[in-house]
Amino acid sequence: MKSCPRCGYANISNTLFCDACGTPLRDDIVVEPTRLYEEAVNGGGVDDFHRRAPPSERTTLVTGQWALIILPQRHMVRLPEIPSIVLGRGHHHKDPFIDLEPYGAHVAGVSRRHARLTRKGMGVYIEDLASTNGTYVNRVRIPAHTPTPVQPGDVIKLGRLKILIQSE
Amino acid sequence: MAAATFREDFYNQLGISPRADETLIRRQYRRLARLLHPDTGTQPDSAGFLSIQEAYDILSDPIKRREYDHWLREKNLFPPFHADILHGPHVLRATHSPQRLYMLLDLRASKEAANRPPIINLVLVIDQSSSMRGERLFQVRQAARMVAERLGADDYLSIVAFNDWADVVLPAQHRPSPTTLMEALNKLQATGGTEIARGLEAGFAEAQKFHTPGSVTQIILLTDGNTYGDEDRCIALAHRAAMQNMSMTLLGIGTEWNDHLLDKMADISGGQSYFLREPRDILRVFEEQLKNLRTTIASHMTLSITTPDESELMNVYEVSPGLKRLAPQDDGTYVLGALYNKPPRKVLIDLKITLTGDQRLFIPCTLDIEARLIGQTRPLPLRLATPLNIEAISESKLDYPEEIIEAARRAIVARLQEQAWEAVSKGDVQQAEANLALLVDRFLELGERDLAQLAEKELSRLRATGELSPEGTLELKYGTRMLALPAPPEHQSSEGA
Repeated sequence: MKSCPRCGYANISNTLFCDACGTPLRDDIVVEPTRLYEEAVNGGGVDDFHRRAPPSERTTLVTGQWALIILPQRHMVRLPEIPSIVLGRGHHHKDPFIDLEPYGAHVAGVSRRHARLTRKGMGVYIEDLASTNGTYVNRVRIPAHTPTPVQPGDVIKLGRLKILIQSE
Repeated sequence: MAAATFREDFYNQLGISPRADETLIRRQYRRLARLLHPDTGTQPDSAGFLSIQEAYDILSDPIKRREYDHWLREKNLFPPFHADILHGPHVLRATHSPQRLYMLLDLRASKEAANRPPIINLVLVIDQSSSMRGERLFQVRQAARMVAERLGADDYLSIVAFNDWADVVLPAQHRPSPTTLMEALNKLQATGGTEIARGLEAGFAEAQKFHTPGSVTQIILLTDGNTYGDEDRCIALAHRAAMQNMSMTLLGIGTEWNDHLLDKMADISGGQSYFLREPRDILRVFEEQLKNLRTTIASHMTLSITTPDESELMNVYEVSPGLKRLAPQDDGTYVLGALYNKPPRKVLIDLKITLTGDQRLFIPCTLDIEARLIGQTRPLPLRLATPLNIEAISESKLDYPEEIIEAARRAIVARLQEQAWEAVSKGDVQQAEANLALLVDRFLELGERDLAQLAEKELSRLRATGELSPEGTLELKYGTRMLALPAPPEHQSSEGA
């Protein structure tokens, strides 16, 4: 038996993806949203697939598509292509909002309005909105109300909730 | 000199294909030896043990293996296609609680076998109801001209037009002259309704005229409308086509056609159904069909899966060339359809295994494949049964081949979207919303941004209006079918470490 970290469904052991929601159930299954897209662009087949370069050596395709990978379940949330969005908990917000409640945000000490992600040009900035438990970029706490640039591969932490930044 | 000791079935003896690498040959030999060894085996069989020994002596030695392959080629004994199985995980755990096993069946044309292109016997069954007027019929004429130009001198073509009745505008014949074809195509007149069974019956009659074991016969149906009251006749025709070794390709254009009926006919006959959004897509699909027909190795393949008491068959999915869950036919077999030169046909078999004894080896299931090869009157049977080792190993230490992970990743997408449509048809909006939301994430994980956006759009529509758009539904459904495993590697990779 293997409970899905996302939806709690009791899967048979040895299962790779949750039968109820499709969430990868093994830590070694990588969620790489851009992988097939890159292959299509580079014309590679499965051979390249097996010899895939680590992220640092890969040519970056700048298409402006960013995603948050919420650890440890590696659940992916795509950032909509809008100038700014707030991360936090709950539904009733006026501005664009990503609700982290389904990923255990409350237990992890995420504030209702915790941080804001802003796009400027090709880059993305994170700003702590005076949250109770703070915002960290690669383990360094950032001051409140100060937009700090983030890059693909960075891990941000809202309270104790870790999120990996990815982009195409 | 060695030829005297060669037998044609060494690869089969070891349950591998000529694509297998040394690691796989060794692993497979060891598994079988543990099973069959006269003194220590779990199913002692001295004759069986001797024959795998013999096969292994030749195949494990690179030089002898090359000589053997050469001998097979000379004698024209190379099978026209290979069947390989990949397991994930590659061992079973010694436990009495249920565990999952994924098996990936890989069927592909062999490079070694002589490959004569088959004679194509193509029947176009074209809807000429009033809604086909204009661009749609114009594109049909263009596509038919392209087909006629590309057919070889030995191939056959026939065209049937239908609305409330059927009209054989081009009786089955060798490649028609441009004038003959033009006269036939001029007879297409957009009037009346859509009665698919009439068109198919006439098409079937044309198909039979030149249907031989050396030909590959396909009926391509193009429709843009719902048919009423003749669904059962359509299904019966699909069964007849399958029995006679013909396949049906079913093309729906626009959003007013019955996708369930066309899908079902495709599943029964081993063909494919497509959603054409634009009339200009007709030409592209016809071209693709023609290319496939030209490189057909087997016109029809079926798979039956026999499981011991310890195994329960959960699901079966096609993961290449398309992606869909396969439903068993009434006799329990799965229709796999045709095998072309490229790409391979891959099937993911999803098993739940509950071991009871304390055996060291276990055969999770037996696969029986029946392939109707071009030019052969009798189908070629092939049986695959691979024993797996049972080891005391923790779940986190299990090893899965990359391809199994990718296949399982896709299978769950096929399943989630199927559940979404089921929920919609039952009026369970909440379930449908939940499934669509999950699909958005899964599409993104696969790098399918367009499908993710489409699913997102349909999700907001569903939330706002409680309904999906017919076009969005079709696009999602048939778009998901395209999410097959990426192009195959040239060499067989062994099953993990």
